[in-house]
Amino acid sequence: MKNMRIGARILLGFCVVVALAALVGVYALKKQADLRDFSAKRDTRDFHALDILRQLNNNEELMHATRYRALSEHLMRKLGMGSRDPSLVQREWRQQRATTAAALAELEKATASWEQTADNAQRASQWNRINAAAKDADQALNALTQDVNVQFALLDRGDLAGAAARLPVIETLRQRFDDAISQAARLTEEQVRGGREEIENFARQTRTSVLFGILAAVLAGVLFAVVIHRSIAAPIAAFMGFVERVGKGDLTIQAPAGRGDELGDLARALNRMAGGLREVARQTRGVAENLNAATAEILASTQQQAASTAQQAAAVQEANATMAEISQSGAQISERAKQVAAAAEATSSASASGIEAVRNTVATMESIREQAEAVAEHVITLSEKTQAIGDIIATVNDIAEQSHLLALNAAIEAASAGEYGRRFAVVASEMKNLADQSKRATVQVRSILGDVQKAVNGSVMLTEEAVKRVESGRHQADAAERTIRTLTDNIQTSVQAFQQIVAGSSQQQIGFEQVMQAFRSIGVASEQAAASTRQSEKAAANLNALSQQLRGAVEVYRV
Amino acid sequence: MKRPASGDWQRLRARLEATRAAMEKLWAPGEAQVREVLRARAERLARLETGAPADREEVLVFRVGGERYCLEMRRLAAVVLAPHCARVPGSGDRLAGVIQVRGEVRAVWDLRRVLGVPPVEASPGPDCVLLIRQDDREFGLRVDAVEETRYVRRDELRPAPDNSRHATGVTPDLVAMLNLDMILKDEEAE
Repeated sequence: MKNMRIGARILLGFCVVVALAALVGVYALKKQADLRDFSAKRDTRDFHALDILRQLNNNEELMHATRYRALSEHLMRKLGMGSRDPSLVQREWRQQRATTAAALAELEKATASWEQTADNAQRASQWNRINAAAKDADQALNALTQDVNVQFALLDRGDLAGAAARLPVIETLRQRFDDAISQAARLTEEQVRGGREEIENFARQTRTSVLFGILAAVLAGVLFAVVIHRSIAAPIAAFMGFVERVGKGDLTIQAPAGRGDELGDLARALNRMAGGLREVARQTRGVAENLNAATAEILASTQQQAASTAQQAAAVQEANATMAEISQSGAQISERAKQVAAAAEATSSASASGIEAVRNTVATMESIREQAEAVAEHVITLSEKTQAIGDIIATVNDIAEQSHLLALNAAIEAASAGEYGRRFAVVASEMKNLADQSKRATVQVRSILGDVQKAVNGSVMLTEEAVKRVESGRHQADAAERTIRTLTDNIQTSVQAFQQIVAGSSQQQIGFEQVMQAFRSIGVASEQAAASTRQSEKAAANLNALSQQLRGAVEVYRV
Repeated sequence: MKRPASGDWQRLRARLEATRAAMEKLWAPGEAQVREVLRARAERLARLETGAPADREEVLVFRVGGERYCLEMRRLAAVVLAPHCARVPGSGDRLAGVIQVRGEVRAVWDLRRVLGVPPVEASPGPDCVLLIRQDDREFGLRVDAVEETRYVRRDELRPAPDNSRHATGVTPDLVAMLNLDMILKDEEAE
């Protein structure tokens, strides 16, 4: 059952139910057919019999009437009033009789066969009796027929009295016939009644059995339905449970998917769905995390932006204030420029006197140079004079040396003279001393001359240096003059520049006004930006809250 | 030479003036100065020694080849500075040449070679010739330079080392006194 498709199962159940119903119906129908057959048989037979009997009765009446008509016709003819052919009436009676005989024969045949094919012995015996009655009737009829024929023959012969005399016999036969017929009828009615009772019983039986059958079918149907229902509902309940749990957020479970029917498909589909949900939940969780992080970032950056916008507004304020200051200082610059122009004028005149001074300096330096050169001349003359002194000193030195030698020789002579030369030795020694002194003095003088020469050289060098310095001073003075000129020119240029500055400054003032205007509008825009940033911040906070919610919602699902 | 500061001209002029005055005074000394000089001279003269005491010998210190030697003054005849010394061909190294003194020709020995002193670079200053009187002969000894005369006490003279025959002794300050006799003997032996 597990692997049968539900449709098949339902179909099966339906089929079973239908089959059962059909069975029951068929059974009922059969029973009804049986009943019908039963009753039909009975009715058919009974009513056929009754019908025949009634027909017989009618025919008998007719025959009676016809017989009497025949009599009357003959009478009439006898009387001379009848015009019809009486044979016709006889023929009619014979036809009727034939019919009756046929009917009787039919009845006999029928009842004989019915007896054979009766459902029960009772009915068979009844048919037997009816058959007997029919035979009696037949006998009676035959007898009657005979008598009637005799009668007719008598009639034909015109023997009315004879005919009339036969009447009571005929009547008796007719009565016998009638009785037989009535007996048959009575028996038939009994049969009918019996049949009706049987039918009633049969019907009751049928009803009971059909009821049982219905009950059984119902039970079977219920059982099957229960089985099917259980085979469907239990798994569905399980699936409901599964779906409930999935709905609650437990995505870790699996539906039992071992079945081969639609429920198995459903289970597999549910598993796929759960898997898909898991995936979705996982992804959503991931996305929610990312979203959370991103919204947190957005919030942070929005807050930063709000802060920076506030800073910007503050900066704009500051800039505005600074611009005002600058504007003010621009006015001051203008003032200063005027002062500078005045100062430049003064400087110009000062520079003229400066140049004058420089020229004087140059002239002075020239004179200094000349004097320095004169000094150099004097010094060199001094040096030459020193050289003269040197010559003299050289002479003196020479003399001193010669004196020394002389003294030495004198001492030698004195020494060789021995005792006598001792006083002379003193003189010689004194002379040597003096010569030595002289030599020392010349040495000193030479050294001093050396110093003097050095000093002269030094002086010349210094003078040269002085001249060079004078030269360089001259250059510097020239440079100073050039510088002063340049300075003057620069000052002129500066004055012009300052005038331009003044002009520019007033333009700048205008520009500052515009800039301040612009700053005011920046300030307004900044305010607006701040407002919109605040809104952004709010939105970001909302977004953050929503993402938190999302995360919370996603966390319900366990994967 | 110190550079005068810019305002020191006054001082410089003062110095110049003082120098000029001093020079004038030098050439024309005042009475006091003359007296002073004369007094000093007199004092010096009074202090003069009257010759060599008995225990002292007057010697002449001279230099040969960077070394200092001395000779007794009484052996000397004269000292001559840078005379024209004519070489004598074929006379060997020891004979420096001959010079003319007071119209006489005297032989000059190169003391450096004589003493065997290793030659040094050319000595500055003119050569000297010491004229030696030996008996009745005079000859010269060429030396690098004459330095001084001094007195040497006999007891100061240390004996020379054994293998130097040319020195009689050595003064405390390592001036060797030459033994002329030995030198002459050696020369005459040659």
